[in-house]
Amino acid sequence: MEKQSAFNIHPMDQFIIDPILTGDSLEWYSFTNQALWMLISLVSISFVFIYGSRKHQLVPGRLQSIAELLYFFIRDMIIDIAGQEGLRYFPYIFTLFILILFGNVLGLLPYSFTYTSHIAVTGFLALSVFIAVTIIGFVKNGLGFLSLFWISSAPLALRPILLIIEVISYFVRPVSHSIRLAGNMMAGHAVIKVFAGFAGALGLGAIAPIFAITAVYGLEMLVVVIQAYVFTILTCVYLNDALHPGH
Amino acid sequence: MASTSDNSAVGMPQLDFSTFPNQIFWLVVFCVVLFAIVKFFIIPRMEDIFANRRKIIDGNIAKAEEIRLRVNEIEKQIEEELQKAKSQCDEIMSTSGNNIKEQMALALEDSKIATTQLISEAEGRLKELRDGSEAAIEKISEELASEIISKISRGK
Amino acid sequence: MVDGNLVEMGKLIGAGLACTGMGGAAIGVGHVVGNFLSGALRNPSAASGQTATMFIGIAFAEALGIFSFLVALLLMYAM
Repeated sequence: MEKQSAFNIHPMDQFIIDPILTGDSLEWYSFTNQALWMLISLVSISFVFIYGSRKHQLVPGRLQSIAELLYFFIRDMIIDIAGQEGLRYFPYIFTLFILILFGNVLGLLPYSFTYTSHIAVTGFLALSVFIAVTIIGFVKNGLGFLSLFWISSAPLALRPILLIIEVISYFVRPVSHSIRLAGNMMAGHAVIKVFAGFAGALGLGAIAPIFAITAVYGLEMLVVVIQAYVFTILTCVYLNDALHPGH
Repeated sequence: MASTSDNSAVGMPQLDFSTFPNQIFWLVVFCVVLFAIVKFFIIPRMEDIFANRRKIIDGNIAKAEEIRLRVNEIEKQIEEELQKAKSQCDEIMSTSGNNIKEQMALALEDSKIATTQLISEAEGRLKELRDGSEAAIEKISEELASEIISKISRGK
Repeated sequence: MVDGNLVEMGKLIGAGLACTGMGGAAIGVGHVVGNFLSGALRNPSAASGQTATMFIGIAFAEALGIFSFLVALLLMYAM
């Protein structure tokens, strides 16, 4: 399949996994640009959360207040949605949140790589959330977890139909959960890249697409944070379903 | 499907299944390391900061409560003192009023005594004076009479 | 060659049609936020407690638009 067009735009190039140490061959252990950006986000997380709050200040400085804000934001969110017993899973959810948040935000840097734009990554995360939540549900409630699908507040005649719908929507969860994040990241970056391609092709008229890039970039700043938030809050909602399946 | 050796992606790199093992391997490594960092560094540190803050805030609240209690006590004392002072004042006023009345009565008595004494004295003096004058008149008249007699007798 | 171009054309038309689904998602998100806002202006004290619910609603509405976008991408690049 070949593409010939006046604009030489390759919006999907930025998502290519590229082995950066071992030449061209991509084995399962090769260090890729994706792994590099995971490493960079790990360093940034350590910088904000460990270096930033190394002094244990009573009145937080700039970095420490960022760390505290994120920490207590997720904490309060879990308590709000999944209740006090959800706090047991706080380390997992917090790990998930900062992993996605830093991946998204660092992905906005020019020439960077967004590891959350890959279906493999988000799919793995969503699938692990799905499996973990299902296991927690069965361990905590036994077979009572199945009452999640049998809606006792609905009229009896409707319940079998609702059962089918509920089961389908339960198994679609990891799909929508992962594709939402990856799709948003991919779409935003591809749009910026497309506008950048216009700017490259238009010469002096490039001022218009550059304004458009600025605007889209501002929107993307919002979107990356909201998507990290949404991924986390949906994890909390699923966890709440597992902990309290009755309602 | 994209092949990794190409410089330009032909399809979607996200759907290139040959990269999946690599991606998932690095993701798992990354997740495990990040989870360890969260569990062993971030959470203890944040909880420590939070507990410290809680402690200091609680301490301050307790201190404020204590000060409030003390203020209440002091206010009560002031009130008591004020009450006492007022009652004392009343007492002093009433006793001093009595005193003044007494003294006035006493002074009245005194002055009455004094005036009566004075009056009697004056009366005595008056009487004395009257008596004295009568005696003097008598004496004078006697002298006058004797003188007149001697004059008359001499003139003759 | 003619067949190939025809297939290509069909794919691109299909991708363009798939993108209309994103308009539906836009309407959905607009409804969610608009209704949230009109409710929030009536009772601002209850609004802050419901922002999380609003974001969940946005996420669900938006997911479907993302699906259609994905179909468009698949048509253009992956098939």
